[in-house]
Amino acid sequence: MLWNRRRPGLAKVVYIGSTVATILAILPLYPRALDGAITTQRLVSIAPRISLAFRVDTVGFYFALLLGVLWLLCSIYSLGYIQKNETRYYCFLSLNLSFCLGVALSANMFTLFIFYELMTLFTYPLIIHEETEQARKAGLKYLVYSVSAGAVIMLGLILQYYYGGTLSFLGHGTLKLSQVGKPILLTIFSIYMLGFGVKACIMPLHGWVPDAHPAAPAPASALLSGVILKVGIFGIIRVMFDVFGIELLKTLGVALPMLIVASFSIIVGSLFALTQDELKRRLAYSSVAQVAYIVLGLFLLAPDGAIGGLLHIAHHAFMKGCLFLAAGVIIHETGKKKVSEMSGIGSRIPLTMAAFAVGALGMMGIPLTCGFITKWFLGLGTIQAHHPCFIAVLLISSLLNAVYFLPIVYVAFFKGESPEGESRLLRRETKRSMLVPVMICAGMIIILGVFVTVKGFPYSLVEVVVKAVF
Amino acid sequence: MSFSSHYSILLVAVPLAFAALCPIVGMWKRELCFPFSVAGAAAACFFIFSLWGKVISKGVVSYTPGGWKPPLGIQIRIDYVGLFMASIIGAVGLAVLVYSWRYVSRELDAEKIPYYYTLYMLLFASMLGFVVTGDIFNMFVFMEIFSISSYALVAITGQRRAVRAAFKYLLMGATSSVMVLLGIAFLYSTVGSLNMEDIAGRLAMGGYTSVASIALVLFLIGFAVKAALFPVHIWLPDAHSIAPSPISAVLSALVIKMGVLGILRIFFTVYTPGFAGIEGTWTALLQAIAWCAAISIVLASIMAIIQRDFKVMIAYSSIAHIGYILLGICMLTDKGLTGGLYNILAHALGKGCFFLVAGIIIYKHDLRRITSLRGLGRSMPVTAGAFAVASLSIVGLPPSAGFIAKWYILWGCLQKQHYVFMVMVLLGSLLSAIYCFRVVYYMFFVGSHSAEIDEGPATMIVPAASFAAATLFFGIFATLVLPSLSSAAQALLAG
Amino acid sequence: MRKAIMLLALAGIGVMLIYAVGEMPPMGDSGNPDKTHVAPRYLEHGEEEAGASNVVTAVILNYRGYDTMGEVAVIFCALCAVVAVLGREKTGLSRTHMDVSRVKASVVVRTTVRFLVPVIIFFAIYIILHGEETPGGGFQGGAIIGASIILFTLAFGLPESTRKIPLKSRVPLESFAVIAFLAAGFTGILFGANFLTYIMPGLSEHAAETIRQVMMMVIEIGIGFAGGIIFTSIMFAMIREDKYELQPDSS
Repeated sequence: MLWNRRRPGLAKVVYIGSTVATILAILPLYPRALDGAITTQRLVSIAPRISLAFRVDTVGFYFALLLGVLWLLCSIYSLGYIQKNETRYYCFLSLNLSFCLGVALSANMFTLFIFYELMTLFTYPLIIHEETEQARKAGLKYLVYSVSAGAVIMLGLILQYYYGGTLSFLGHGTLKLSQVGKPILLTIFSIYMLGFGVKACIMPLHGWVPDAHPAAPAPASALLSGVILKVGIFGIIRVMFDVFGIELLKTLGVALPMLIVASFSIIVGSLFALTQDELKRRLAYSSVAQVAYIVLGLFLLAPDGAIGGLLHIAHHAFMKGCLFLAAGVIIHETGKKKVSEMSGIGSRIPLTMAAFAVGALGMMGIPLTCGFITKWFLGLGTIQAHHPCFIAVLLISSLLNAVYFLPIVYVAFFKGESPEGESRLLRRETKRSMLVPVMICAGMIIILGVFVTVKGFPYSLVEVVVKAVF
Repeated sequence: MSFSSHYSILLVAVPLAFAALCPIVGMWKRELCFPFSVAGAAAACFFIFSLWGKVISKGVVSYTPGGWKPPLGIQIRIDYVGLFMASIIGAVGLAVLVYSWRYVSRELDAEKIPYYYTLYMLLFASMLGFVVTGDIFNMFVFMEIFSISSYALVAITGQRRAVRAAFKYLLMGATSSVMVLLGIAFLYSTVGSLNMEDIAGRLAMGGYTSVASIALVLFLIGFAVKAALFPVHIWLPDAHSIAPSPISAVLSALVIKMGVLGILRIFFTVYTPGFAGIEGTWTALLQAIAWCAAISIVLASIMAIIQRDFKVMIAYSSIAHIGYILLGICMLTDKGLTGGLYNILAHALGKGCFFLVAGIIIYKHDLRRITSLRGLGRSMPVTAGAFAVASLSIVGLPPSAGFIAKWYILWGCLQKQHYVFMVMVLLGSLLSAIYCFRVVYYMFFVGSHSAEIDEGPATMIVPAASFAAATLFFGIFATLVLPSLSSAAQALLAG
Repeated sequence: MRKAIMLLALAGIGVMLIYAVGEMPPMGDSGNPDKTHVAPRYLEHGEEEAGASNVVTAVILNYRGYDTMGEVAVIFCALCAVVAVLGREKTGLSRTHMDVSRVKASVVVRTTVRFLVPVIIFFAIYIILHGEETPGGGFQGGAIIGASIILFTLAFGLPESTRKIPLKSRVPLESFAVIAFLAAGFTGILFGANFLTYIMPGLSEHAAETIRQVMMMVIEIGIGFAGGIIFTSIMFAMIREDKYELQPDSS
């Protein structure tokens, strides 16, 4: 698969095939995951008490499934979107999928770190795929941020190993307050947050995001925003649930500072988004804000908050996937990158813009979209955690979301001259391979918003996770 | 006595014999020199790897040429560290020898080729002799052989630049040899013995501690020059970058490690840790090495970043890695030592691969500037790919051997609560990421996309690619090596 | 600045060395550590154990023969280094006279040299062979042989010398010392003893003694001749005319 440069067509087939196969391979694990059962498989032992090992638990399965689905959508989309250097693109795309799955299904911090670093490195070619000057700069910025973060995580890893004695995920915290002492625990915690926070783009560490997303090709930015940012979140989840444990986090009193950081991210990220004219940049800043929702939900340290946060992983993946893919269609079909140029494109690509509108509504948290479900649970969580003031953050952010998304929809549909009718009738909207994933994402936003409790949908899995942890 | 009991001497004597016969073979038929030397190196490899079983079961294999018991005669003493180093020398040396065939046959005058192989085999044999010996003067003798042969190999093209670099190397190297010799002389005057273990025993009896501690300082300076530690590293960038690429690979991967091994032997076998009388000097010097090593890491990485020439950049990176190795060793904990030793392996493979890749590029296109490497990922995918993989190890990213090494070094620092050193190690990683990935970037992400594949010859590609593969292999299957290394570390710490 | 640092470092080392010399055990005192450990054994048993009445030879060839093998390799290595960097002698160029002045040596000089060289070589052979009993041996003899050939070359020029001792005969001789040493070493292994053992097990005392003498002789002669030839070859390689310079940089 790697060296099929002469025959990109074959590479595509192989690639899509392998993605489907991956999903099929993940699916049979579903019933066990729903039971909260844990399957562990040790691959190779690298050093005493350090091994390359995998385990399938509910949260890992949830994440892996999400990865598979979104990857499939984005790769189908890529068939239409990517036109040069196809083999390299698909090669790295599939490698990244396997590394992300490796992160999701890792059984200890060490394995997680290995795959995390590999994913970090192999995302780079996706970001600079266009090979423009802008892409190179963005890629460099990305590398500087990520590699520094990697070093920081490694520091955390060795500290955890030294003081905690193990890196395995055992379903509860492995660090003990009585053995380690508060200052060191706080150090480890902040080091981890610093390290994973870069990938999860928590506000002061988000610098690479607004550059990398616009530079990458649309399906890659959908993946970046939809999934790869979440890998950072996933790291944080593992740190919270399996390294420290909820009880320990409560005693350490780190929740409130993290909540404040997250709220800051949400609001400032949204404000930044508001000022951007370039569509993908705006979406990127929106990701900064949205991912902070997840952090907010998790650090409420309350069951409902955690449900909201975890659900938002999937919800945001579909919403942002939908938006980025739609943005890709806009760029691909009309060549317009700036919001201010978009007047009237709704009539040119109506279906895409409709999907975009659905995504935007989801972002605002309008009922019947999945964004609402998130906010609902987050709201419940704030009350449960006795931090009701953070509801205000949610509300402000919804408002800001509305302010920066609705104008796009508005100008696209209701402003500007209607293009000449004939072209509208003659030309089909865009390539089918691009339109279908966009529509599926939009559909998912609604479906996840309406049928929340259906078995197999995120909620059923998340519930199991949260029950196990709290 | 069975034949296998002689393996420990044969691994030195056989390549030496091949070296001595090489000019004669070359006089007869010049083309035969290469297969002849390969046979010698392969035989040595066979002896080395056959010894593992014995070392693992016994801990130490001892052999006495001439049958004289240690203080009287010379003892060959193969312990874990020695055999570990010997294995690296054997494997890397053999691979680079194969690599150099095509390189040398084009770059050198036909007349010089037999002497290239002769010197190479002398270098190979003497490094093996250096790592397996248990006698401090014998160590010095072999040190002289590998030093002289490496000066010559640096200068072998006869270009003015090369000769100048070699001369600088020779001046520094000769000074350091004199230091070591003086150290031996001082030590002999106080203990009357040359066998390392025997010296350790007699030093512990006390007397003349000030002379012994000055000898220690002299040893340290001498071996630090050979290892290219920070303040005395100035010969390295010239010598390593101007030498023919296979020689750069050997110099970087193996020869500077001999200085490290010298420091190990002196600090842990001759002057054992915590031995009475001069602990003060001992600890202070070790601290000094640790700080020099830490400064090496950061400073050399920065120097590597600002270089424009590909090979000079790689050469500076070697200084940084010597820093990692010595820092790990100076932590004086089993984990730190393990990490330092593991980095010897990781760096030998990674840096060997770097220089071999540089050699292929010079062989094919005569490119030296980093910015001129654009598009090579397209036309030379295996070469550039090998570089990319090896750079993972040099940077210390998982899953590569370099990561395991750094992990243990950090662990060692943590055991001694040296947080400053931890930060410096990580900083070094970041800086090395900059200089490595810059090259990867130029290779893969800049330049044309339509270039035809135009790889170097197979005898050059295969060694480079196998080094790269080995960095990954030892990153994942580290348990193959780690137990031996931790035994080595424990043996060293026990004195 | 740089120089100041260098000077300071050198001064530091110098002071350290002087101090160390002051602290060393008193010169020539028989109670010194270096005179009470292994040295007495060498002195007392050297002759019977090592088979050489000259203790220095006993130590060089027997007790620490492995070291000497290394030293022989150092000399061989030095030759290889010179040849590899400079190349062999360049007789084919416009070099009818070896010396820079391009003036042939006078008849007196040439006649004297022609007379002296055999005598010097004869003396060298004596030194080599007598090494086991009196001070001397292979290294010294080799140096003398080398000196005689250098003298010859100075008088008669490089082409004449290289005609007398052609490259083809020099190449095997250069390696001869190392090979002789190794051969002696492998003989030990062949007889089932350790490398470089001189007394072979399983033989009668007389035979073992003879073998030991032969081996020592071979090694001494090897070192002597190889050493002489190596010095010669190094000098030949270094003889250059003004115009022949190092190759210029290609870059």
